[in-house]
Amino acid sequence: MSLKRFGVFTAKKLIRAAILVVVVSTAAFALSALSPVDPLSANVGANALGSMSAEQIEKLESYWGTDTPALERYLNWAGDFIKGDMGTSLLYRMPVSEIIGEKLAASLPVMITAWVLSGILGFAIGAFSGSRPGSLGDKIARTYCVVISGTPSFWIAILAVMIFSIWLGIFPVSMSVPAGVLSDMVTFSDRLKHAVLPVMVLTLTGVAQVAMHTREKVIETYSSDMARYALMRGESGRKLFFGHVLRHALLPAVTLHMASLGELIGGTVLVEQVFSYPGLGQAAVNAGVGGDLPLLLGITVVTALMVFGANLAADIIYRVVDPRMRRGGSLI
Amino acid sequence: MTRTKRAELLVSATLAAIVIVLVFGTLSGEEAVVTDFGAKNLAPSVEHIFGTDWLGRDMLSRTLKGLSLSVVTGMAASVVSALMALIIGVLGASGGKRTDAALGMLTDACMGLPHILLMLLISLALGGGTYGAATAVALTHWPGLSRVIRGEILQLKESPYIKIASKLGSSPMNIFRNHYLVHLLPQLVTGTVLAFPHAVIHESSLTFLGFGPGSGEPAIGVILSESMQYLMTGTWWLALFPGVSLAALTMLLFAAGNSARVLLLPQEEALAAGGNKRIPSGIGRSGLAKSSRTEVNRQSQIDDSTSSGNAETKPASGAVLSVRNLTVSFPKEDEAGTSPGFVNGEASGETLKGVDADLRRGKITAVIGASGSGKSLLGEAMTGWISETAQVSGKICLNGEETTADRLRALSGKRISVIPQRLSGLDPIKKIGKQITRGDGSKKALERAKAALAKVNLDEKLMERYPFELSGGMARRLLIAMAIFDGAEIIIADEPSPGIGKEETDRILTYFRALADDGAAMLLITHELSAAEKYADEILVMRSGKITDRLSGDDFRAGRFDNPYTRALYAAAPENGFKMPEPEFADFARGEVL
Repeated sequence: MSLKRFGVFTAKKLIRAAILVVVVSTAAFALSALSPVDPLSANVGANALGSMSAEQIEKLESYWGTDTPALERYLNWAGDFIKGDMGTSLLYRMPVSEIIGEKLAASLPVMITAWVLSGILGFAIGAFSGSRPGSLGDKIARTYCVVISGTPSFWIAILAVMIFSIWLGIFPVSMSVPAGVLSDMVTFSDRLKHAVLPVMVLTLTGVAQVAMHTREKVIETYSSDMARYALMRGESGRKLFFGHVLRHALLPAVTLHMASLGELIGGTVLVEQVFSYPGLGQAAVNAGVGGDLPLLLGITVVTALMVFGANLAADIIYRVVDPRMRRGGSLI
Repeated sequence: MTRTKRAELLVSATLAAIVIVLVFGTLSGEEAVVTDFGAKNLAPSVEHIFGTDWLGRDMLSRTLKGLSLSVVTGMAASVVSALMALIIGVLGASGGKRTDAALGMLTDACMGLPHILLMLLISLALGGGTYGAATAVALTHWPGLSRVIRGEILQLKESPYIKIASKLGSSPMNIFRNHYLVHLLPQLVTGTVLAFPHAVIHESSLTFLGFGPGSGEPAIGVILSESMQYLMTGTWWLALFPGVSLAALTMLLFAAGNSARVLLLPQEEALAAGGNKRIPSGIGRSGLAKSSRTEVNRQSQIDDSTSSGNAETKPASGAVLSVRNLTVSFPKEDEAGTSPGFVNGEASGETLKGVDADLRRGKITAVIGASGSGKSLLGEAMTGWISETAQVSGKICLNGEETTADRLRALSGKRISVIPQRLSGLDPIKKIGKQITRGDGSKKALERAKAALAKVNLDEKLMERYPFELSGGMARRLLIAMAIFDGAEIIIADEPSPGIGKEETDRILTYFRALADDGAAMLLITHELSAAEKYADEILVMRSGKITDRLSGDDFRAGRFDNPYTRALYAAAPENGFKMPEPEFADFARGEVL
């Protein structure tokens, strides 16, 4: 019975996610179709266009797709997308799926590392703060979180470059690989070195939300009837924390952190720009600036899928881990 | 400084900062773009506080100009977002199921896309530029607030007082003005103010990425983006000062937003702040409340006790736990300390005035009395788990030796067990077995837990279950099993049988009787006279913090009592005919329960 309900729940969520993806892709397509940015002049340049023959321009127009109506283009695109063909990037002149795959390969390790680290660090900070509200440590942690969430992440990235790359000279300034080195000559340690600062910035900015949320939850749990009764049964200090409080704070923290993937992606876009890190975020910005519609759409839909996937995973984790959700209802 | 004062100060400071940025930003419009090659790449000095850039432009002017653009965009964005949130929230809450579902989908879609990407798309659709970026920021900050507004309206719609107002013939317009508006307006204003800093950050991010004013324009994102090209040349001030100014502005705006919450939504704030205050200090470290004022004085100052046993100053022989001349009061303004077992004696204005009581091995002492008479507080004091703010005097003795609240608390779960009134004392997501043994997985502990469950007729299979899977009566029995597991010699039970029916109450009380017969000294705090009547060995009748009558269970059962208050209490019990008390005893009639 429980399994069936779980199946129904998951199916419902999946359907909703699918509808959302359709809504998102339609909206994204409509928005880009509205754009008066002319991909021709954006990429070829107005001067170059002026010196071209009408025939050449027509060729270009059909290449950039500006001569077909928007609806037709959307339907074509959506049909191909379902078949796994996301179209061809106009800027990179390569299949969008290939570019996204390549950029994701660069971005994902950074994002996942930052996501995991900020989750662990944020939870630890929140648990620490919430266990001693009003203490000096709590005040420091809270101030840190307020400052971090009040500061644009790209500027924190700039500061990191100023401090670690220029002032201290520990890390390279930019790029995921050293400049002027052939891509197959790049060593793992080179990649690692270039990823350290982006990971650090994304981690440091990512802790604030989960830390503050965990803090609230820990305080709430400590002042609950449950904690008081545990105290009255002689469970105090570590025993109370690890026996009761931690369990109650952990699950909401994990789900919140999963649900905040969208913010992490947003942060990645900015941070990659600062570090000139050739990942998905930079590709999105380039596509936006260059009017590369297929690529921008591809990235939008892929990130939306990632965000909805993370939310779905969070919902499922809740169902599976929390016994109240798992078993539901009382015996009698 | 009070919270309100500080909030007001912050809001005024923020307003002042905004005005300064706007005025100077506008004034420095010229200076921000004027190039002066004679003064390029100057480090900060008195003349150029933020230094100059590679074209000799004054960075302070550029920063102020850029920030003024951010402020204008942010303001417009927060107002537009608030309006959109209001419209979408109201439509969602009152526009029927389909509209709600469609708007919910729209909200989810907006929140599902990374915010930056969404703004990027919108800005692109509008052709980029300052206008495109500003509109993109303005159009994307409503989802959070619209959800709040939708939720608020749905909640208001269902709230009894609005239904009553409507039934009483209040016009929809009046209901809207008197009820909806008062609730929605503060939310809306707070939401607007809180969206402001977000909008500023997003405006700067968008212009930083190149989706706004063209290069060379003094937008804060553009300034920072351009400064990056010169980082290597050592002109650190180009990135530092504009960034610090931007961060300072947004943080001030965040603080103002929180201040707006304090000023406009005091109830929510109080809830959040209350969570902080209720926690006993040091709970994280030691788990024990510090004994600030809970120490029990050796020599009691108060001697106006009218309680029946005021002549005794020594604990009765054979008593395991005794209190003598126990007086507890609370400073008025203090917040209530809570404990799961007790009906929050402090909050209900309970005090104790010179109470004497003894718990004896093998005996059940029942405390009866009206709500607020102090019976829960007596229980709290006897376990040591009394609020930190309590002012306590009198004597507590354990086996004839005087002791302190600290020492009593250290015996919790070992020699003293509490059976709480509220079932929420159980950890809902911890398996019952582990909860009984406090995580001890040893075979011995598990065997003992099984035995304890068996004593209260609960299946040992329940060890693998969770408390939320139990019925109310079973959960009550589980609490008793936990006390049995602890093997305490003193058991204090506060209203152990509310709302579970007569049969289950009887059953629970027979377990108590059995526990006492096994040698435990029990304090049974109850409003159910029938419970006391059946099983107690001694009955203490409390009234306004004093013990007004004290009689043996046998006398009570035989009806041998002539204390007028006890008689009135007895006559007013539901099973004895609900007789209204004489006016002089009306104190318990005012309480919700006896």
